[in-house]
Amino acid sequence: MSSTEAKKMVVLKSFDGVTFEVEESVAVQFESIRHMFEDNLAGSVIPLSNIKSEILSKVIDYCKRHADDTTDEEDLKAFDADFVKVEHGTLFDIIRAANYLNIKSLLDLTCQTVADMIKGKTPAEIRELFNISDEFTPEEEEEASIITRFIYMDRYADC
Amino acid sequence: MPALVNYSGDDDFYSGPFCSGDSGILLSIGSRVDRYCPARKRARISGPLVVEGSVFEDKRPSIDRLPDECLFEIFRHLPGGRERSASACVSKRWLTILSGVRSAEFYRSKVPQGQSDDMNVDLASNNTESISADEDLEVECDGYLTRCVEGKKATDVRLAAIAVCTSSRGGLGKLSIRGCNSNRGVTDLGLSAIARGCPSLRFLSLWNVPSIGDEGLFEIARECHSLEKLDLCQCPSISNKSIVAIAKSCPNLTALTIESCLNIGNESLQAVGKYCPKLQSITIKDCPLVRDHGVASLLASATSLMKVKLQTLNISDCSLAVIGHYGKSITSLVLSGLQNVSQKGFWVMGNARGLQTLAYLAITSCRGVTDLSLEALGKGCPNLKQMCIRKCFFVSDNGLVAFAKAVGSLESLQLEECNRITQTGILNAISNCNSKLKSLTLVKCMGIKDLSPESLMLSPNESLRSLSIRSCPGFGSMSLAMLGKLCPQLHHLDLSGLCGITDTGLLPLLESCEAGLTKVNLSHCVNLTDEVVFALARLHGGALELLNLDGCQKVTDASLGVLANNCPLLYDLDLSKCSITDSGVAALSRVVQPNLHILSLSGCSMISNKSITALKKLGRTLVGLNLQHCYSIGSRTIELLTENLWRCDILS
Repeated sequence: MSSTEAKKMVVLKSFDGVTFEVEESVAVQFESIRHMFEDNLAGSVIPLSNIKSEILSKVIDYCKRHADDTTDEEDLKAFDADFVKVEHGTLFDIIRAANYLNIKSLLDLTCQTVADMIKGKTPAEIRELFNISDEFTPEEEEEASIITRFIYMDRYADC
Repeated sequence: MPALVNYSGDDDFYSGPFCSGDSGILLSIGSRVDRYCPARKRARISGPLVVEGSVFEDKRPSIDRLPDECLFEIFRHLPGGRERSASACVSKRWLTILSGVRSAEFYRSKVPQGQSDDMNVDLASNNTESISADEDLEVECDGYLTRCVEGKKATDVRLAAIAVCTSSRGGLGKLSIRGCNSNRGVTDLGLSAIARGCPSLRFLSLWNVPSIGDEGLFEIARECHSLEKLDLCQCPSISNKSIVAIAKSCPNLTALTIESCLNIGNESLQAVGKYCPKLQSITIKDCPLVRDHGVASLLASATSLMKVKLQTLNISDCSLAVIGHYGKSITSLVLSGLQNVSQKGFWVMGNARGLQTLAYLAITSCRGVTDLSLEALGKGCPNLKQMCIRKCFFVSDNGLVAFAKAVGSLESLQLEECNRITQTGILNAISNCNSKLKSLTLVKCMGIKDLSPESLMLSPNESLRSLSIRSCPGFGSMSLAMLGKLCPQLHHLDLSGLCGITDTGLLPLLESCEAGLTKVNLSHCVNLTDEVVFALARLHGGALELLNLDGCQKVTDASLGVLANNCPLLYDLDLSKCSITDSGVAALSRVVQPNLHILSLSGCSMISNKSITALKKLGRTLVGLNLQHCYSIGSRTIELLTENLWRCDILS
């Protein structure tokens, strides 16, 4: 996309009614709604009715940085590392938004962040960390605990 | 703005590049199988995201708010097996989602945290980055692990756990499921998890799992292309459709067993014949839908088949004709309970001359085996080494003798419950058989009567090494004496359960054996006395390794002294229920028995605690000692023995 060309803008509207005007060069990263503004619907408002303005602004922020060809790689990495330093709730919302908008690099970044949090933890710690209510029935719970034991004994042979 | 209004997100949502349509399969099954996958708080498939505003009211940042596909995406980023295993144990939902991740879909990036270079690559190319590196799989999943889930343990949760946990440590190679939990049985869901997590699966065995159907096997067909052996027993929900799918996508299939599967029929066999050129072994038992058409097309096209077992099937002469014609590479053939095959079928099978390499043939309960067809089989199988005929009531002496004359290389012949066979037929068969026959076994042949031998001119069989006549109540001393003259080179003699024989019948046989008997089983020959043991020890003591006198009540202590002095090679001695007392055991222990490893005194109730010294002495070489039902030996003695003879396995 040539920078000399007049910048086309796309208007996005969040769940709580806040509108964002985004350059098309940034919005193309939103894979799942791309066809809307590419189908000559530029200028019209695209409703993103399941993303809060707070999250949407973060996502747009991320996409702006990643669309900017002038940013050097080191800066971008630092930005990414900083970007995911948020509360769990926010992080999950970003994952959901990235998934909905189909922004692969953002989804990878955030999912990797969560995956890294899981690293080295036991199932109980994971439940605690992410506030998961256990869905196992008592019988299955017993089974799961047997399995866990085997995993941590590094021999799951007899299960 | 219809485009926007209609845009609920659903369609495009699922067809995104990183969420391939297939990844939803597990979940879509889940929505139908309520047993394992209760309805989600937010159904992923039906609920458009637009109406999910309520989630924002939930202030607790639980990861559970994320839809399945987001968790799926997170799990794909888990760095290793341990993390995947731990996550699988977090909740059933996590386990379900995790087991839906194909092992090829995990990111295998070894880049340390925060330095993931992939991201820039992704931005530029924006392509599917799911690592489908087959090379990686080859290296990491050799599939050497084996798992077996049985009965109560057979649940979907366990299968999912196996799928998740084994994929990170070498990969699952063999899986057996035996029965299933009555409440939470194994279903297609569990098997699908296995298929996704274990692409290296080579051996799959499903016994008695009615809840697994085609869907599960479809998934196996889709993912596990290196499947070599498939074993299905009592799986009524599996039909031709999935077997055809497996046949088409598993070209390495070498062995297939289908038993009591009500919905598998001809179509499956046709497909297997057509698409599995490496098939070596096929077993089909009790499948009402399998008919001539299926068997014939399989046999005609699977040219590398070596082992064929057909049991209790509604097939007719036609199938046997095809076997006889096309079975050029068959080495082992088992036919059982083929009620619709007539004499003609077996006759044609022999006369088709195709069974040139057949070495082992076993026929059970087939009324088509008659004198005529048996002779044809003998002529048609020049390389037959082992023949076993069970419960074929139409075979008589003439057929047996004709078969014995015709078959060139027979080494072992076994007849069970062939009630038309008499001792004349057996003696003639032994005498007329080629020079290679080494072993003859007769079991429960009720037609044998102990008649005075006719004046037959029979030449002795110098090749026969092993003679086993078990539970033929009519077989008596006169027949035995005749046999003795015919078989001078016996090494193994098994006459268990012949209650009709006496010392006078057995002694001539023992005397005419020139080679030296090594293994003698006389169990339950209740009329034999010490005389036989004396003769055995005197004539064959130097060679005797195994002697079983179980239930010979007339054998007493006197025998033990003689055995002890004359049988240095004796390894296994069974004196159960003989009339042995402490002095007999003492006599046995008096001479060092360097080779005696197994001794059974079970049911010798006259042996008392006094034998402890003798038993300790004998115990130096023993590895097995049976003292069951020795009611005169106290528990304290057993304890002492157990302490002393720690190398020996004592049954009490």
